[in-house]
Amino acid sequence: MINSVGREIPDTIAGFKSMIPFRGAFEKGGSSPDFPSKKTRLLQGNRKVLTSMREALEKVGVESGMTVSFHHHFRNGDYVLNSVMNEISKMGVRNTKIASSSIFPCHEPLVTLIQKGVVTAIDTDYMTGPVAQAVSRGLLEAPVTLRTHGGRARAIDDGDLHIDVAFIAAPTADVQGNINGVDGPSKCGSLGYAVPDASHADKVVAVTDNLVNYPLTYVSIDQTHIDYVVKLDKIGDSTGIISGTTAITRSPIALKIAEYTAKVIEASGLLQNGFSFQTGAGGTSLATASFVRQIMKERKVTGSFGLGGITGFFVEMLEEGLFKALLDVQCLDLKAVDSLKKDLNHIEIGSSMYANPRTKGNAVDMLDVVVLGATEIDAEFNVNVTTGSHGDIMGGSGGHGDAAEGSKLCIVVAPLIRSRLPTVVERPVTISTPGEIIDVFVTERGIAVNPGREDIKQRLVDAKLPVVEMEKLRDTAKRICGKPTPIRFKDRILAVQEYRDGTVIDVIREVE
Amino acid sequence: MIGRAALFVPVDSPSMINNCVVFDADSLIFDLEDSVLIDEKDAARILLREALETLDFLRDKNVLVRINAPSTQFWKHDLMELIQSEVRGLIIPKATTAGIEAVDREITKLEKRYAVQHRISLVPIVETALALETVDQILNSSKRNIGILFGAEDYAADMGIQRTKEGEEISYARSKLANAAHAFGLEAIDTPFTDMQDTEGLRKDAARAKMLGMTGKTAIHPKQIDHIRSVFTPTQEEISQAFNVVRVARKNRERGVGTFSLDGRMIDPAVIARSRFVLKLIGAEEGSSK
Repeated sequence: MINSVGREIPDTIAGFKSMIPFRGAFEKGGSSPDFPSKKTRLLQGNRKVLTSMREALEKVGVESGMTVSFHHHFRNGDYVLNSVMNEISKMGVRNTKIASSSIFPCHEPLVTLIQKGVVTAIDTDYMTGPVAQAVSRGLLEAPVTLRTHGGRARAIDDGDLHIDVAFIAAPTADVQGNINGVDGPSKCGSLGYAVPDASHADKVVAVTDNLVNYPLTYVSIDQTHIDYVVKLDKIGDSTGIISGTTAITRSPIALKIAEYTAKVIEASGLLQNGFSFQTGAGGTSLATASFVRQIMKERKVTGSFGLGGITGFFVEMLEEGLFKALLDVQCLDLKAVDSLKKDLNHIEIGSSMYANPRTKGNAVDMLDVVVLGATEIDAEFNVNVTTGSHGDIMGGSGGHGDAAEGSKLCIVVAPLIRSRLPTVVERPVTISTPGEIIDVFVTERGIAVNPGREDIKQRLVDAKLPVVEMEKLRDTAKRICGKPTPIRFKDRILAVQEYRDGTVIDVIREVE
Repeated sequence: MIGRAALFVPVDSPSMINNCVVFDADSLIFDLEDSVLIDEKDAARILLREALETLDFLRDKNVLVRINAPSTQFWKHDLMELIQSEVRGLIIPKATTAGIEAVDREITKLEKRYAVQHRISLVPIVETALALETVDQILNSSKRNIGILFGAEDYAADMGIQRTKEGEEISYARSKLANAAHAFGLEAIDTPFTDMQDTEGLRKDAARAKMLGMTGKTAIHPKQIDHIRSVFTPTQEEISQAFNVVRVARKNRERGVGTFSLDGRMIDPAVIARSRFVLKLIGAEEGSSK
């Protein structure tokens, strides 16, 4: 055959892929029929910036039955999901699946959209607030898929979770779709959870309230992934990113737990130069980090990296030279946002690098120690962070299972009793994270060590820490609280809790 | 024994009663007085009685209860509610000689009525100028007294003086109380340090009290406990010496010798008593060694 520049091209060449003749520089073509791509090339003169959300939805061809994705970097301050879904609803589109890395109370309007049939499926890592309550009451026909953060990245990479259109809340975007989360009036920091969506969705729309000229200088996700840019008046409330409290707890019980936890870390032998650490926001986590920080200073330990959702507290440790770097998949306060922009050692990472178990290397696998929470835990150390003691969905794994599996030492912390409810139970309502990857459970009344970690147990005993058997903690809790009446469930399954590798670790049934 | 650090626990929330045992206080003082509103006195008493009956882990602890002052209408109700519990010690606020005598008589009456087997001890709180002046009479007014507690805030109010973190204004009171307590062979427990955020101030305040002869201090927040204990805990050298003194004293006693020489130092009954107290403070048995 003759191509468009008049050269004779054979129809086939032995040992070479199928032949597609050149048709002209601006003609469609070039992608292999073996690996068709839905991504389109933007030619000079074609503008990515659209005037309205409606125009964007029309351009990307949103239609019933599609999966639309969102990320949760604004946490409870997100405006984008509601804004997009409201427009989708007005267009008469029905039967959409929401694939949002988390769902917060601010997403309450979704309840109405579920009732109207606009949303008929949800795929998420964490859900709390009215949507979670509505799902727990059986409002959604199809079971919700609950994943870990790393599991979501894996599912998108593997194609388990196919995204038709990804909507990325972008605090700053340039006209070609380079975006970041560190500039603009609605800055939220790292855009790590949106990275797999940007890489794999058929269409990607950046939604911003701060449109700037090309080129943007700090780029979180670059223009090669973005089809369109839409400017809204406001995409989110920066103060909504604050997770839990930003102050160290004053609760004496939480302080006691934090103190024990820091001593466990010290006794473990892992607190040496090169130490890597992940803990969350919230009073107890910050108190633990505070005690660890003190020990690091006293022992002149320089850690390698802090990981995960990053707080201002970790930023201070970076600035003090206690860590060489922070690997940041999500900023949990504005101090972290500002640090991410100005400090070269504060590095933004995507959720695949953070915790995708099916990559050639992720950050959680490099972790020495992670400190995690638990709603319930049993004698085999199986942890529930998905449902409350009444059986309703009120959370999810997030990065729990990812960091627990990846770290050398996984410490779960919780008070033995919350109000009148025991934390150590015979059987958790849901198993979110398997006990085999939990090493130590710290409460104010003693520290239980997984029988599989005899080495750690011996170290804690040598350090004269109050090591107790898990059964003793369970019995103490039972003696104080009494035996809770078991929850009765119907057969109907409301949600499926996946482990990070995509296998099903538990199902959540409707409460009678 | 009250010990180095005695934690006040307000009896207005089940969780506080439940959780107080996890801290390393030498004793717990459940408070029915200032931290309980007048309208809540009944509920607090009943809650405390139920807790003492049902929470078995409290039985391993040194539990005291601050009842309401003998000048109020509440204290007899407090005693009625607690007399059959496991509580072995009562803290008596606004102490006066007459008040302590009245409490002693009432307890004796109730002990007989309910055939109480264990002994109930008293710890008067000195918190007025008159109480300080008559502290020896207060301590003499009941054989149940095991110590004296200083309430500096009320004392300062009674004196019309300003409290300071440095505590110079209460030096005399501390000295007098400590002296009286030691004269009767009792414990002298210092007033709480009210700035819960000032750790350094707490340590300095506790050290001053210890220097003047106080044997322990009350805590109003669990995070104060470790600091108080560390100030009032004898040094390793003092502990080793106490073990030695008690060990040699026991041998000499068997031989009928009261005063002896140890490492070039004269050991008399006062030094032996002090050594026993040191061991008691750290919870060591007289015959044990560390």
